[in-house]
Amino acid sequence: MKLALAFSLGLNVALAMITWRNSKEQFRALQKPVTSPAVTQIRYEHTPISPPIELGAITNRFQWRMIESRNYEEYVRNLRAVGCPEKTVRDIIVAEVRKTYSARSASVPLATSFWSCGPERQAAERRRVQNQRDLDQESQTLLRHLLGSDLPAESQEEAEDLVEQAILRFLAGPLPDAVFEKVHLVLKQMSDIEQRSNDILLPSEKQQLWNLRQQSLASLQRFLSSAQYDELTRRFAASQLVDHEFRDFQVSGSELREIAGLYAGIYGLPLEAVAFSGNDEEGHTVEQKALFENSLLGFLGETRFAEYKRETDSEFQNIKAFIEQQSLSPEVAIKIYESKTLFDEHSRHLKQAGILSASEIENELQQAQRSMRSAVQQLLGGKSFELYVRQQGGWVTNSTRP
Amino acid sequence: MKLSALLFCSLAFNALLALLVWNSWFKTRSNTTPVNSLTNRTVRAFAPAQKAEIPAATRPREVLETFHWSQLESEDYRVYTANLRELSCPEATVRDIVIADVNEMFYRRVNDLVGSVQNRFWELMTKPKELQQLVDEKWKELKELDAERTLLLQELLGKFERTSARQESANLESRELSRQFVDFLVPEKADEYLKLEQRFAVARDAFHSRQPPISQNELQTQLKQLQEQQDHELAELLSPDELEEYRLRKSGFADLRHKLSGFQATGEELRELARIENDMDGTQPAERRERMKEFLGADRFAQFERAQSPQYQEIYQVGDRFGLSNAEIADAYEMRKVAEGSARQLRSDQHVSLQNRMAALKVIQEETTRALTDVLGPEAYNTYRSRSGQWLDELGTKP
Repeated sequence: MKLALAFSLGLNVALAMITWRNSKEQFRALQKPVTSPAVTQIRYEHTPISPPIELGAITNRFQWRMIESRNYEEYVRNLRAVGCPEKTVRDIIVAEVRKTYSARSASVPLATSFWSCGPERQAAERRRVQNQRDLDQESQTLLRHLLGSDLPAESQEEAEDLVEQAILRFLAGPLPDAVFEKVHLVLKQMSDIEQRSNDILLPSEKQQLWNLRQQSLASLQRFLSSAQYDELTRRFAASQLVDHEFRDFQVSGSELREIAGLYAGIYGLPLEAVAFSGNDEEGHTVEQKALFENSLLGFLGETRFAEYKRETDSEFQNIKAFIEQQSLSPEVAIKIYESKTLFDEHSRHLKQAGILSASEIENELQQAQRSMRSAVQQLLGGKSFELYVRQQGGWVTNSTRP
Repeated sequence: MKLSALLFCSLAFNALLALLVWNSWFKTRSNTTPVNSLTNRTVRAFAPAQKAEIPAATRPREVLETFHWSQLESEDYRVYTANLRELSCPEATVRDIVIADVNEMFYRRVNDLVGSVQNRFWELMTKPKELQQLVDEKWKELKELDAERTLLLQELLGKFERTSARQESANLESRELSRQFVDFLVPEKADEYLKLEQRFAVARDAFHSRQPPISQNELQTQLKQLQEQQDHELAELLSPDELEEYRLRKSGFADLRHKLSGFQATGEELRELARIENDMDGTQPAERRERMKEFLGADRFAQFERAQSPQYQEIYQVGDRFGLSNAEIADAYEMRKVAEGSARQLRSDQHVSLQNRMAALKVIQEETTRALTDVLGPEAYNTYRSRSGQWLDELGTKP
């Protein structure tokens, strides 16, 4: 029995130690940040204080209603007066104001009868949109008045989209947080203007975009070193290039960086392309396009430039897609494209020269087409050729028809 | 005897301690929110060296003076949230504060996640497959982060519906539209109708989201029964006139009122057109058109048909944005019709040589371009050209 007692007492001591250690660890876990490689280190605004404060006596007297107010200005004043950090004041006020205004905006009635159509309905819809814009403007002004100009670019909903944030961060590169916020804000404002325009930008909106662009360029140049600004410009240009012109043309990373530099040097920082997630070619002049192509020719050399032109030609892209679909060699696509280009040039030359009569031109073209047809047929093989003619190869059979 | 009592006490104490050890181990294991997320909050407010300046507000000054935000700050989100609630901070505000705070913490973690591949930007941009692979990997990590954030928010705020601001606005707008839909009813009846509609919508949703899902046939049967039940209740709620109006408003034709660009009609006329469409349901479209033409007269019927033409709507969208009159927009549309008609005629004429045909088509193209620019103005014309001007290109190039 003595032995059992000794064992039991020993076990008690061991269990008591484990319990004490566990509770100590749990307390520590609650009080201190646990760092691990996956987690960002805490960045304190000031020196951290240790354990949470017992509110007891204070909360008996202090209640939230003492600082809360229907008057936003007073609410902000009270929050600041009790030492609420500026970031938290912003979080509270921005959320409150946006909620209030989005409810008001959604409730703006469409002031027309159910059975209305045409100009009457459109006028009512325009009035509604205008009222909603006015409310939006009012909320922005109010927020700026309450919190200063440093408003967050994104709504809570956007802040919640982690993937969206990651993409923009990757694209913008390692920018200081404050500058990234500015870039984000400008992109958001541009995208808002574009969305409001229903894809039809009026001169006044184009002017608004231009002003915004100029202001943000000036501001970015002020806040970034020339190397940082250059990198941002090239990155945005690269995103535009790989989405469009360079989607199918292979270049190395360093080549892309150089080409993006040429692009940005001619067209400027393509903010619109990133903001609208589309092609910003619309704003490019013929002269700018020619200049870019010349610079590209100089950079790539004639052979690779010709490859680039081919890869960006929609005719070639169609042929290439068909060849891939038929699991044929990529070389076949190039040969067919070259045949087509030669035939088109020959045809254009004959029509423009004006030496031959219409029937002579037709005969000449028919002859050229016959030889080209057999060449394409040989390249594709019987079945694929028939399919090609049906799907997109009308030019092989009817280019000479009047 | 003493020894056995001592042994009994010791064994009881053994059991108690073992229970405590097991309990604390279980607690640690079942706490699925990573502790580092819960306790990694950035503390922002600290007790000031000097007292804050109190504004001349009408608040109890001495209480405000004794309270400082730093008193509720904590690195531990649970403590911080509890402290806010302790002050009777409204739950909506607690949510606003905590969600924004948590979002910021995760935002920093997203930065770290992206930061590790920033130096590979140029290489990745030229290797779409590798980029895609990386995007997939990061997407997984981001989803895990998102799940962790959801868990953390649930732990702090309880299970609440995280409706986005956009969703809330959409709900409000749809409520507004439903109100307009029943503006022919007296308010009390309109409320009853909306409740009925809501009740059946919930019932339909329940069928759609039933777990395990019911078969498609079963679902269709149930939905049909539900619809019959709803129709029956509606017939009891509404008078015959109201029911007719309700049916006209619910008809597909009523939706056309959103699409009749530039067509001016009174409510009575539009309702009458809807009635013709409904009453003649099952007859040939030509018969219905004839009946509508009779009702509107030839000219207005032509306008009614034009308003539904996609080609007219293309011009209308641009013209309307640029503030052009209906007459100017109609002129531009007629120009297109005339130009395309002439081109068609020319192309089908086998007596004209290819060269002459191309030359004539070029002239039509140039003249149409000039006329359109005149009537729309250069800005609107350029916008129209880039959006829907393919037909103009084809006018001069298609032999």
